[in-house]
Amino acid sequence: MDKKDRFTEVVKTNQGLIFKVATLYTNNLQDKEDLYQEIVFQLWKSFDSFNEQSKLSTWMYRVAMNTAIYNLKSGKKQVNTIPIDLETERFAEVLDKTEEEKIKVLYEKIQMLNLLEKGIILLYLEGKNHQEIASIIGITISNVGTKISRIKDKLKSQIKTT
Amino acid sequence: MELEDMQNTWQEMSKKIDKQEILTNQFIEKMTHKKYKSKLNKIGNSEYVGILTCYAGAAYLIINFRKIDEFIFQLLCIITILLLFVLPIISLKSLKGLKTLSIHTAQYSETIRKYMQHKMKFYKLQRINLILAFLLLITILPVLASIYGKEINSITNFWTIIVPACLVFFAGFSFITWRYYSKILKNVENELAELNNN
Repeated sequence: MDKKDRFTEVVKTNQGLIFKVATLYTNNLQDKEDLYQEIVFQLWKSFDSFNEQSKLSTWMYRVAMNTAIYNLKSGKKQVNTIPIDLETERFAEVLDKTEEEKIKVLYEKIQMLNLLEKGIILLYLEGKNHQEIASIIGITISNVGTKISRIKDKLKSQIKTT
Repeated sequence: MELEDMQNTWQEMSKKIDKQEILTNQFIEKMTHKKYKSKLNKIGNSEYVGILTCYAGAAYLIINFRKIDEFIFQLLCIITILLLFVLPIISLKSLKGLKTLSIHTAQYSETIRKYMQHKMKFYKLQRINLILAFLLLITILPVLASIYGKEINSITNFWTIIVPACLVFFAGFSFITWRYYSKILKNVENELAELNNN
């Protein structure tokens, strides 16, 4: 299997991860598509430097989330991108109304958090343990616990105020 | 919705997303062939238009400088030309991308820190730009009047309506913008402080 085939395999297996990061860090479909492509591009660029010893998902989250941050500044630039179909309607076909509503509320809650909290909560929801979160985010393991409980409080206070 | 509920919803959503066929082999092929143009750290067309406008204005003033007779207006013209050169430089400086960190190896918190520092620099430079733009508004009017051979005092309602209206409009605009920038800066400072406590 050559490099390109390996990359295609890796990216296709983890396309959900890219989709979720792209959705969480953008507010509209065009930006989401742009960010999605940028993440795939950055993953390809760094595929050579990916150290097989480190966890594949750690590398992917790191590249995807860093790209999302860098992209925040340049979101309005017009460049040629390859058309891809990230239409939420297509995704919505497999969801019922209650699920759709729940996901909407979920994204709204996450959008209210700051960038650091957003990154932590994304990894937490993805089922990462504190050690993995600490490694990707770059904070201590004990701090991850503190941050998560603060986020919990923040979410609770949001419920009270809404 | 509490964190536990969020986690359940997220897991349900993830299962469905994973079943979706978003990426095709052809799409990835295009990516790997560099047909895709990365947009990170690119300066947009509107910024280029702004820069060209400023430089065109400066060139116009340089060409017409000899038409200005009085020393005071010549001095104002030089200040205006300098402002027209400095304003785009500040804008470019504030728009310059975050090129110092590696997307592939930097930790998320490091990237946010850099992003926040960049954001702070951006808004601080924007505030300087706001003051300089105000100065430009004051200097350019008499300079243009002088180039067109008009006595400022002879322009109808110049001092009574035109100047006060410009000043009121710009002062209002600057006040709102300044407050908006300050609010953002405050938020960025708070987020940076939180990051530095980790």
